[in-house]
Amino acid sequence: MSQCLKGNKIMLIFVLLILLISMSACNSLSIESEDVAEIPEQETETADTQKDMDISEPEEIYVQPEMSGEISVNVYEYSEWLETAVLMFVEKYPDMKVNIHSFYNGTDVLVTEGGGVSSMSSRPAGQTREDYIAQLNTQLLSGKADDIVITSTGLPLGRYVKMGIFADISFYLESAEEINEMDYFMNIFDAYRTKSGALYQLPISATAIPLVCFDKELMDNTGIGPAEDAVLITWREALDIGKEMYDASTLMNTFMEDARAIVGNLFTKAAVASIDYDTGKVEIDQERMLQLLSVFEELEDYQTLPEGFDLFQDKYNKPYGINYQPDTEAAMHALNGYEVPLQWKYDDGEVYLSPYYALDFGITNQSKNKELAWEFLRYLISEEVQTLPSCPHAGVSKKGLQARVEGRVITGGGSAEYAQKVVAMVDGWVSQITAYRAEDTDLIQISEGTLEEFIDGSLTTEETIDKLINRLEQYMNE
Amino acid sequence: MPNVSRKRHHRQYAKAFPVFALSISLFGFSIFYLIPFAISLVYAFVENPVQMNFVGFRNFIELFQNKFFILGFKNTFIFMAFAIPLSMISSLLLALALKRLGRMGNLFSVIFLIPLVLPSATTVQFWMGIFADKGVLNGFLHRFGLEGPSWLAGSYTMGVMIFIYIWKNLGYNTVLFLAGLHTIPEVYYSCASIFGASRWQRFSHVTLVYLTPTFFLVFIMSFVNSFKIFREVYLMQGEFPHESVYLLQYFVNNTLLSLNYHRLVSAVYVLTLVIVLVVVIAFKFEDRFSENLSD
Repeated sequence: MSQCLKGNKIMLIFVLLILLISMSACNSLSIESEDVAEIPEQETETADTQKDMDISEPEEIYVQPEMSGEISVNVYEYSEWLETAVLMFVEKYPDMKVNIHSFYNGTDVLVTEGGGVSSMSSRPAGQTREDYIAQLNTQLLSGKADDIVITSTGLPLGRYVKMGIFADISFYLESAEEINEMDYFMNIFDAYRTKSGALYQLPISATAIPLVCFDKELMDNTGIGPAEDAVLITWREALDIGKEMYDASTLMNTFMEDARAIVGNLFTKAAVASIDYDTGKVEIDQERMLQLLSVFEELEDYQTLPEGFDLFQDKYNKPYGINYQPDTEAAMHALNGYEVPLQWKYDDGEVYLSPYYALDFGITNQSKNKELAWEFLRYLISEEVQTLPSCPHAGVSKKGLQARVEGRVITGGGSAEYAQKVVAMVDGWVSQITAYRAEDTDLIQISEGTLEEFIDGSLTTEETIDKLINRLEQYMNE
Repeated sequence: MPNVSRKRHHRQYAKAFPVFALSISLFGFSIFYLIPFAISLVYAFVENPVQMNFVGFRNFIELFQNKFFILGFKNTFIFMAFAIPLSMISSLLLALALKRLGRMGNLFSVIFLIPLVLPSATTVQFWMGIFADKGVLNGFLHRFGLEGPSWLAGSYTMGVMIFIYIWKNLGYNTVLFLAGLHTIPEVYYSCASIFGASRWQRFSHVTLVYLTPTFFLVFIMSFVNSFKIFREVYLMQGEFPHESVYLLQYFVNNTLLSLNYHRLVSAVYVLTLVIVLVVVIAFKFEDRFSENLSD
């Protein structure tokens, strides 16, 4: 009995000691943050705002490995294009085997609303994007992930980069001589680089370019519009022009539909950009956020339509719309005189590639076949694959973009000459891209959710900002 | 002699059988809980589960510098400090009342158990209807010209959660106390009456004293059940609760979802240590009291 008591006492002392050691750190609140603040920028690699960096010559020489082995690719949903690319790859390298692990292989279920079938679709429970990300997270963190993983699914890339989940493929890219300024949109690759020049995602697609497209009919009606030689436009300029057009328009069914969407989008982007993944701090520009929310409120007046107007049935004119899948369609609209498209330039001076419809892949650090994985990705951005008719969106290869755009125009009945004009227009847009910001889906949901509460009237502008900061801090520090 | 041998076998069997019966459950518990729990301790000492760089006690140090962990710890402590004693006192009083009713008391004790068996989602819907800004309670106050506060998003939120916890666990604790009350021999009360003890003296010197083991049992059960309030809080408040009801389980839950396994494991081990400490101390006191009681 006494031995048992002695044992209990020892156990108790041990436990108290552990607790004491941990709690003794409570007083040193400022030390850790100071240390973190002193970490030089080169060490903080995140997937946030990415800028051009001087690319130095590789010290090592890359040698193509023996093309024999097996690699695996993890994607959210089945893609005919990817499967075709794999077949072509293994035909080229018969000793290679590529396994595609697709999370969702079913067909979407159309959602019925009010007896009819809406255009929305839903995935069954357990097969949604969130479920995919949960499964992928588990695989990545347990070391059982595939060699190549699709990264354009709203993953928390900032965290992953910090945890060293993805390999830096800049060396491979710089060693590939065929990937050069003449044949590729090198600005797209540079847009994906982190501040320190590392590259963790290889873009395959590059056409999600936010464009602000002004309605030509309204421009003619009001005599107001962007300057003729304008190429880029900021949200503020677009908003001001749109409001002028709205006020001057004689057409009663004018409706500034996308204006609020722009401001909401900026609100979300500002929230996401305020996060420092290394320190977990949230540094929101409160003044700017308040301004955005005020503009959002103000735009409510521009959302009114004639009495009895049915937003879903009746036609309305909008001064401008935001287009995220521009390439061919937007260019054709512009050339046919329906719209005047300008590329959206953000307040930080960058021209962003949108994460919507982006397609990029990363090689996991756990992969034992990094070189083979790179060879496959290199093949995906080769002219051979990027010129495939089934290649999604226009790619990073110039010839790929040309082939795809031409194909769509000519298939749609356009002439070769017309197709060339479309190509030139889209080419111009893609060439303007300077930045890309990978967006963590959770962060987007937090900021959109908070904004919705503001729209509902549950929160004032100040409460919205406070709540947003608290929620972002909670997310970053949990 | 054969009788002696048979008795010895019987004694051995009587000792071995419980061990055998428990070992099956213990085996499953070990495989699915204990062993994974022990293995996971590794994550508390590495930078992240991918790189596995050893960082010593850094995760624990950072944990106690994390304002959300501290907030969760503080709120959980405040919740327990109020909810557990209030729950115990109210259920004891109810048990004393029900004991006087005799058989009817047993029926009522079953009725009081109903909140415990209702699904949390159902009870949450009910209470949200009561405590919402435009709910029944504020509507009632409004009739008297009073402006009701925001019960679910303000300084009263913790109070509401404590109330819900007491309401939910009242029946269970009452049943335990009732059982404890029934074990106290009536002869002790008779003796006390004979010696001129007042009602209060009978209560404090007989009832409370002989209910001590039950008190500890109820305390431990209340302590364990207090962690379960997280379900109701989460259903009412969502992912981002009001500051006053940000419990430690939020921190643990969200840390898991955000893949911060090293932080999660550190927090879980600290929490486990605290729970083990509380339970061990409670049992120690109970042991001492029980010894005195049997003396």
